[in-house]
Amino acid sequence: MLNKIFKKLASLKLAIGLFISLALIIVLATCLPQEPLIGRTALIEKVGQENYELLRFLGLNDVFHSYWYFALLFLLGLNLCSVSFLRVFPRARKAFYWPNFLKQSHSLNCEFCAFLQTNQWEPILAFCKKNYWQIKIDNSGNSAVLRKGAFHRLAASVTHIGILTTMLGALISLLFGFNGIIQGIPNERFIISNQANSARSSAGVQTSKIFHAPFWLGFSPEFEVKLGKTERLNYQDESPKQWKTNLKFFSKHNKELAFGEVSVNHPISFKGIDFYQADWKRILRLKLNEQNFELDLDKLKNTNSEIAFSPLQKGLGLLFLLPANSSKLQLIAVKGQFEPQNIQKNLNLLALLSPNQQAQIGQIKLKFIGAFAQTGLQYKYSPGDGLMIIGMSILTCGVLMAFGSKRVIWLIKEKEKLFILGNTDRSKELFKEEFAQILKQF
Amino acid sequence: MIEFTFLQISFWVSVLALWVLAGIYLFKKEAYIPQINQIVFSAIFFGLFINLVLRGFRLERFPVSNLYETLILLACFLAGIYLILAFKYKWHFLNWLVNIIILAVLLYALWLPSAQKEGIPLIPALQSYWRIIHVPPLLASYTFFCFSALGGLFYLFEDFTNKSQNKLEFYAEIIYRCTAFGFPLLTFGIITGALWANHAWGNLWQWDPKENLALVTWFCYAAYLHLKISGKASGRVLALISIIGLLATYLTYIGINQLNIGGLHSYGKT
Repeated sequence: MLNKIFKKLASLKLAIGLFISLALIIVLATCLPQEPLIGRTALIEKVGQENYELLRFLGLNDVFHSYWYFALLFLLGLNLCSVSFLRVFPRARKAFYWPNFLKQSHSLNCEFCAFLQTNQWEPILAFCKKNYWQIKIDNSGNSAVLRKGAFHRLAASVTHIGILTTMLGALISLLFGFNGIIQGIPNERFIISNQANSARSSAGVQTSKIFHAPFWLGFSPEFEVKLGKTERLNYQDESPKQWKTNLKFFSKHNKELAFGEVSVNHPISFKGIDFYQADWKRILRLKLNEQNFELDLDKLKNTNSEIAFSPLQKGLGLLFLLPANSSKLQLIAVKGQFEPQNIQKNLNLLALLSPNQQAQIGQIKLKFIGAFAQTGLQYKYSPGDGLMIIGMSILTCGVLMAFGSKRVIWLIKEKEKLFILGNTDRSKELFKEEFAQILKQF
Repeated sequence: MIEFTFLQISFWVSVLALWVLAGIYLFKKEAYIPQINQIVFSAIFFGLFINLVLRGFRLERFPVSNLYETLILLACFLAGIYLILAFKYKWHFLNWLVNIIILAVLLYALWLPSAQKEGIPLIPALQSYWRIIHVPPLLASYTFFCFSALGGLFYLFEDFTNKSQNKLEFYAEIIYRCTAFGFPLLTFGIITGALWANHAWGNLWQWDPKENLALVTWFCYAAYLHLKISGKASGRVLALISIIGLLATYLTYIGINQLNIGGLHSYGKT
């Protein structure tokens, strides 16, 4: 019974069916707006609340994390395992088996067949040996088998080993790995933890909550990360060239363990956890009625001044203007539609605030904490990465090996004639040329 | 700039070749085709190659950073790889189609905004040696898939008209050989892309639209190879898969930006 199930799982029909299904689903998911990419609010705005509920019910709002997509991938994994162990690996042993010696009568059914004089036996063997054919002659000395490219028959096995190794690496990362984001300004300290608020929160250490699979078996790290100087390097036209952040790592007893600099495409690693420079921006930090909030700062076109805008209600908003070479924040009321290019129009200066200064505007108590460079770091612990990279390398080798073909030539001496028979497992046209090339020599 | 002169040379050689090839086929002077192919495609290849080298020196980087640069490299690969295949396997009859494709690629590249042609500075994510490892194999694989689909088109045409077994086998061989060349390159390109993403963003795979469609393309050609090797599909089905594969390749390379789907690879359109 179990054998029957595995045989069904190992079928080529199932593999092709899964390839087609996954391809169609991936195309569908690429065309449909996906929640993780654009956010829930934007998706609801785009498709409407009712359609959103329907998409969510069908798992189409986030196809790549839906239970049925995982089920399909799991089925593909099962198909791959079954076919590997039932068919592909057992066949690999036969890759280097020598083919049987043939008789002249076999030439009747052979596509590649010719005959020469028997005195060509030695020269033809010598020529083939020179061209890297492996040769085996039977005891009578009247029949020979020549083969080339037998290792190509291992391609499927190598490819499948590569995929299985990659899958194993991914499974290890899923079970033990985690990832997360740190967003902060210089001198802020973070602890990477599975808890939303760690025990060290009271000491001014913020918590970066990790993301992991539901059946996670890993551990949170024990160290703290302190953000150092962070900067943006620009090209002459002010477009970003690089973002950099200095990091320091501390033990829970506040002992400095290591330090380093992270930038885009230059991650750093500490205790197996990799840190990546993912984002960088300038922000305004404010307190609105004792609640902390942040606004992204943008450069005002053709100036070095920075602005941030926060809509309050329809037709009314607050503009925060930080002029170049000044630490004083201008708080401006904006009536009507806000357009950065028309910044001089419809503006009403409400307050001028220095860092840590506070203003009362109607019922709103607003405190300007400061303008800062905020760095966005992505971190991850993925213990299966090494295995995945090995698996991918094996997979590439396997696919490259599949490029060639196994070719066999039989030589049979019979009644003053030397019969030459040939066969190949694929690429017949190429073998036809090779076979003709051998015959042409004699 | 002198680099554009070489691009223009390639472009006008390609335009001229259309008329020369038309004349050759019209006056049945097929004996000259191998020499004409050699001259035409060598001129196109070297023109584009020198253009890319000069561009690389001017911008002080390997020029595969936006759609314009990759289109020029693709046209260069189309000419260069066809030159080798035509010489080695005698696929001279594909010359006019390959020339039309090169012309279309160059016209598209020339139609792109001038900022792309002049070369904008690299965004931080693109400043990596992985760019050199990841992009050229993918473009080379697209070239092979293009030839494979041409073989598929000829196969289907022959299948519906003359049904000459010899010709069908010959076209099936073109499809297989080009797919067998292209598939390892595509696999290598996808894997190096994953490694680059891991290096830059800390994720091997993010289900980004471009990654998704690259996977769809991989599934297409994996299905082709499985069916071809197992011998469980007719030549017609295999030819059809090669054409669908090219469609998936087109969507992966250009369609994703043309349809404005966005994602992490959207810098390719600007």
